[in-house]
Amino acid sequence: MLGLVILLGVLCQPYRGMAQSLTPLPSLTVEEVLRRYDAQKNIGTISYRGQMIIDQGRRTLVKEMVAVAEGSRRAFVEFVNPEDRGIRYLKIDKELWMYFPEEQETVKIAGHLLKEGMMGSDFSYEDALESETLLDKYDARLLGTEQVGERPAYVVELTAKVRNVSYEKQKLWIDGERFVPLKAEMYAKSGKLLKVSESLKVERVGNRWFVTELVMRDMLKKTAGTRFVMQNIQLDIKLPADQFSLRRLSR
Amino acid sequence: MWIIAMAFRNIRRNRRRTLLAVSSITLSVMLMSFMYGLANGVLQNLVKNITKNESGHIRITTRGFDERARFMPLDELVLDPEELLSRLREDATLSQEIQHIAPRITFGTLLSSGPTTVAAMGIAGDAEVEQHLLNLDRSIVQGRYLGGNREVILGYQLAEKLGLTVGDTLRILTQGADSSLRLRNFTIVGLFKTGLTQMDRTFFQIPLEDAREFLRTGGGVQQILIMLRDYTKAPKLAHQVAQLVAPLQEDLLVKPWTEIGDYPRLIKMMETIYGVIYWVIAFLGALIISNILMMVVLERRREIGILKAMGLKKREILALFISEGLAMGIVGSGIGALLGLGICYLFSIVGIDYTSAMSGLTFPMDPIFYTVVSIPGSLMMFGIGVLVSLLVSYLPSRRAAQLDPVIAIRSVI
Repeated sequence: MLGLVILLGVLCQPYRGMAQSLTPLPSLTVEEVLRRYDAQKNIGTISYRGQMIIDQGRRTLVKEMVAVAEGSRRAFVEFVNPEDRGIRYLKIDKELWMYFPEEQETVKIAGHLLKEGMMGSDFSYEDALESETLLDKYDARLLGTEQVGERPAYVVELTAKVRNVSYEKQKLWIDGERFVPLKAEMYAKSGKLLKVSESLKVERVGNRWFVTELVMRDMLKKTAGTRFVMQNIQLDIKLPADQFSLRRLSR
Repeated sequence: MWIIAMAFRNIRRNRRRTLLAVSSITLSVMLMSFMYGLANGVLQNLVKNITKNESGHIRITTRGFDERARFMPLDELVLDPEELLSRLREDATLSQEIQHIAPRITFGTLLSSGPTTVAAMGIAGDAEVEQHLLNLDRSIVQGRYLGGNREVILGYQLAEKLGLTVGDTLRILTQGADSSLRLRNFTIVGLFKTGLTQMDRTFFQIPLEDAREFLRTGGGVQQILIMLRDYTKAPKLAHQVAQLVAPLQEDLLVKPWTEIGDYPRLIKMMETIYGVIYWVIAFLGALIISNILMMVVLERRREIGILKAMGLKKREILALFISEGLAMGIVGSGIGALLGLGICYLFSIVGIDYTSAMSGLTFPMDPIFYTVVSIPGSLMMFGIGVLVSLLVSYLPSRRAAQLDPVIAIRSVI
């Protein structure tokens, strides 16, 4: 989805050939780890078809969308499942708009609405607007290395050093070879665990690695969370000049 | 009989003293009668507004909704309200007792108009049925009541804050039952003024069908409110309703209004407090009477001594003074009860206006309090007045009866 298009910028990495698992990781500074991690946002243009499977306890919702994005700055998503057909989102930098086809109206998502889950999912609008480099917003500490499944990972602890962050603290398990996140824990200032995301599938597209399946769980709810799946990924596509415009959003 | 005749003669003998005692009793009983009428009026006001605006006499929801009612959760729904309503109407016993059945959805939202954002509460119900519950059709001050889909009426203070009026569009952007953002525009067809600050400042009403659709409830509703012909039967009938609807949905919960929210407990507490107030007033009145009667005994020591010397027995002295106290009590209580009834009647029409005092409060009460005229209530206060007069007459009377006649005759006051 939109937020995950942006997350993609974080989640993909130029392919460097088959990495050996269980090999010790090179000793890098935390700044170097995060620099490589943040570098993944430079993906050019991308399009894909996505699916969100949202567990709400009593029911499961399935949302389907088509999405295009340019780096981490701009993205355009349109929903195609029958109940939500025609609902669109447009992200430009830190601003987000939503188009309601029934009313033919566009609403800017701001203020308290940013905390809401997108389309009822466990991804908030704030999650979608994250685009700055981590080092700009967080003090980082390398806790060491761990094995996540078959992948070796750097474990990084982040503590906010500016005010306008979605999470006061985060803990990331970053693939030591591909520099995509394998797992992330997001915390409130009090130390309460708010969300956990886990990458279920990482695939190579072109010369990059993408997390093509991930699950996000809101730990304040007693549900299985939201599973996001990406398919038909295409890179470096040509987009119309007005792709990321309000005019196109409400067309 | 001669004791009673003697008692009346004694009462007439010192008119000033008698008037003082009788007027004390009259004042106490009058105050108690008025308090009774006012207290009942206040409680009825509260019960009426709670039940018709919030809970009905009987409410059907899910258990989850009941636990989180203050959050008005949209994911806790009665899934097939049509079937449930149909069963209630077809039940031979219940259909006689039920006056109205109102399916409802309520939701909180922030309404925006230009730079202004206001927290508001939406009530979605069957417009026709809600004319008997919310009664907002009677409170329309501008425009008209709901007549079709995509129409809204709102409190006049809410409209003022938003800078909107009849004919304008109200945009409602809120979270639906699936937790996604939902938007729908409604045309404002009317503004209402109920006098209840909470309603006028915060509420708006839309058709139920619109709410079910744009909030994506899948046809479900949060609550089904039942209004009975006799609300006192609510606890008993709630049990019957629960048995009838149980097979339809596993997690349904049926409650009478006496078990919903905090207001029933508040009402019980208020009833207790009012009871204490009655007795305090009665006690104060009794204190005055007791003092007066004690004074009477002291003033008439020589007379009592002479009466005893003439052969009056202790029990006859006792009966004499008790009769005097009782006579004053009956007269005073009777006048007090009548005056109290009259004042209650006056204020049942005129009312006591607390509009300015309650203007900042969000409490489900009409701001004008009307007293309740209750003849049984006045009779009760009359009875209390007489009883108290009788009780407080005893001690002084006993004291009089026990006086030594020789000492009493010699005493100089």
